[in-house]
This record gives sequence, C-alpha cells and structure tokens, in this order.
Amino acid sequence: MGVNARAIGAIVTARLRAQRRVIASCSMAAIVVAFLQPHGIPPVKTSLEADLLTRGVWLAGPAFFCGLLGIVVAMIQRGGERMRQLELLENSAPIFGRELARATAAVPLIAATISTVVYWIAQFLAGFAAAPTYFVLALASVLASTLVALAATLRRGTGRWLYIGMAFATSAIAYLLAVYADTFGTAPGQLGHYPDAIGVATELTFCAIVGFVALRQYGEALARYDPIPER
Amino acid sequence: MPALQMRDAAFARAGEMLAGRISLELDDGQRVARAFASGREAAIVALMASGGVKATSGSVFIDGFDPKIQPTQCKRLAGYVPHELLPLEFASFERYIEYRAALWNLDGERARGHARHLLEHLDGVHESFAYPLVGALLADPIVLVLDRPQAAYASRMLAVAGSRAIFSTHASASEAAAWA
Repeated sequence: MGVNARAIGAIVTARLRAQRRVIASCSMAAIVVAFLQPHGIPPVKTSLEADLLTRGVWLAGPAFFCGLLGIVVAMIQRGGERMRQLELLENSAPIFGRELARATAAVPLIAATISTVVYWIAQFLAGFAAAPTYFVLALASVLASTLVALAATLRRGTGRWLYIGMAFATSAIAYLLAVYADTFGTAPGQLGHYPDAIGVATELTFCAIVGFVALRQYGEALARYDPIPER
Repeated sequence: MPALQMRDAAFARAGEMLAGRISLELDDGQRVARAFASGREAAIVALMASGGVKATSGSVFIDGFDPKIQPTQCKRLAGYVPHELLPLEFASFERYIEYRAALWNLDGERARGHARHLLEHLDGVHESFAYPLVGALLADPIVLVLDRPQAAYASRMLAVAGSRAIFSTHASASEAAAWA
C-alpha cells in the first residue's frame, strides 16, 4: 500500500470511529423519515402530471432529507474538542492538502451514502418501490451537496453561511433537473424508450461537475488552512 | 544550518495580530522555552514553529525548509506535541502508534518497537502526556516543538527527547522556567 493510501485509510478509519454514533443516528433518522414520508400521489388528469408528481415524490424525501444529513455530517468534520484533536494530528502529518481533503471528505460521503441506502431500503419495506434510477439520482444529489458543505468548515462568518447556502442550492437544483428537465427538454414522443433520459443525464452531469469542483476547491482551501485555536 | 529559525515570525488574522513577533535560532541539542501572554498565542507560535500554521509575516525555517513552500518536508523534520489531550478514539497505545506510523509512512513493526522503548523511559508520566510525546518522536524529528507541556514532567520528557533541538511554548513564565 502506498504512503498516501495508507495515510488516507488511517485518517478515514480514525474519523469513522470518532463519528460512529453520528453515522448510526443519521441512519436511524433516515429510516424513520422514509417510513413517515407521505407516499401517496393525488389523482391527476394527465400522464404528464402523474409523471411529474411521481418523480417529485420519489425524489424529494431522499434527496432533501439525506442531503440535509450529509450537510450536517460535513459541518461537524471540523470544530468541537474531539475533532480538534484529530485535526491537529492530521495537520502535523507530512501529507498534502489534497490527500487530507480526500480523507476527510470520505467520512461525510460514507455517512451520506449509508443514510441514502437505508432510506431507500426503508422505502421498499414501507411498500413504496422507488425505481433504482431514483436511488442513483438521490445519491448523486446528496453527495454533491455534502462536498459543497465541506468547504464551509474551513470558513468563518459570512463565507461559511454562503457555502451552506450553496450546498442547499445544489440539492434544489439537482432535484429540479431530475424532476423537470424532461418536461421542458423533450416533446411528447421523443426518446420514447428512455423517457427520463434528459432528466437523469442532466442531474448526474450537474452533480458530477459540482462535486468534482467542490472537492478540488476543498483540497486547495485545506492546503492554505491554518488550524489556529478559536480562543 | 539551524534546526529551527524564526525571524520576526507573526500570525495575524483580519488585521488582528494573534501571535508574534518571534525571533529565535535553535541548533541541535539547544533548548528554548518561551512564555507568551496567552495560551492561544503559545499554541499558535508552537504551530508556526512546527510548520502546522504559516506565518503571515516574517519567516520560519525548519532545517532550511520553508513551511510555506515545502510544508510536508517541514512536518517530517519537526515533531509537534499538542497541548490537547490524546483523542479518545485511540483506545490503546498500539492503535495510536499504528495511526501515527501510517500518517508518517513508518514501518509498523519497527514503529511499535521504537514506541515501546520510548514509553519505558516515560514511566510515571501520565499516558495523556506520554503518548503524544512518543508519537512525535517516532519519526525521529530534528526539532521537537511542545505546546504548553506539563512542568511536572519536564525532566523525564526532556530526557526522552534526547539531544535534538527543543522549543516549548508556555502560558506562564514559571512553567517556561521548568523547561528552560
């Protein structure tokens, strides 16, 4: 195992151990909300309305709630006495900012992924069989917003709130693309065999670009970050 | 070339001077203990001296390397012992040493042996203070930086640290005197 993979593995393991209760709590919350989420779709007149409502209901719960969980877990990666101790150890180690960024980003991403998976499983158990495509769409949105929120942990004041706002905006934009892109992107009859193709493609592309840029920026910010005590 | 050199090194944020201006030069075997106005300033100076925080004015060199340009080289050469207690996640000494060995890319078996040897010489020192010192010495740094270490353990910890350059920061002159 190379130096970077070994160091990254050690950091991820230590942080996962430190946050195991948080991850368990997020998973439990995801299960509860998945069971409580209203799944009924009101009677509609047209197939277009039915399609939009189905997509909207299927995606809203996991995308927004698990996105919120991802943002919360991202925010607790820094600050607090317990994480401060780990942060000082990691900061004193001879590893580059981008490697540290990958390692510290892995933990909220793992927590967010577990939450989304258990949410999806709970939906199935509740008798609401969301298609696997919607799980992928929800997961992409959750991971992208989590990565954007990570940058907020390295900033203070207005800058922090700006990044938190951008994380929520990422969730909202991904949701709108997944639900509405097909409606405005294709005329009836086009892409008949792949009715969700544009929605799926635009949402995944958007989340991939936002996530990639957010992780790069987090790495650069982490390389410049000075972990001085707040008081 | 000095093991640690600080020339008017200071740290400011949003126009507020939080630490500095510090000037010192440390060669192998030399020791400097310096008291600061607050624990926060002592913590920031210790971080600057170990390459963990970049000075916003002045300069810091660790064996000739500049933390602003070569941060990873500096962190290999400087051992940093934080004031904060050991994280609770390390339930055992072995687990903590494995973690340190992974971050510094040291051979695991050799690191464990070295760590046990160092720990034997810290008999009587509470593990919350002994473990971080052992961890900092694992990679055999040329300069050891201690952030507000306990005065009660000064003689034992200095003996284990050996003949390398040692810089300690303190929040009071009486504590600094114990490490001078």
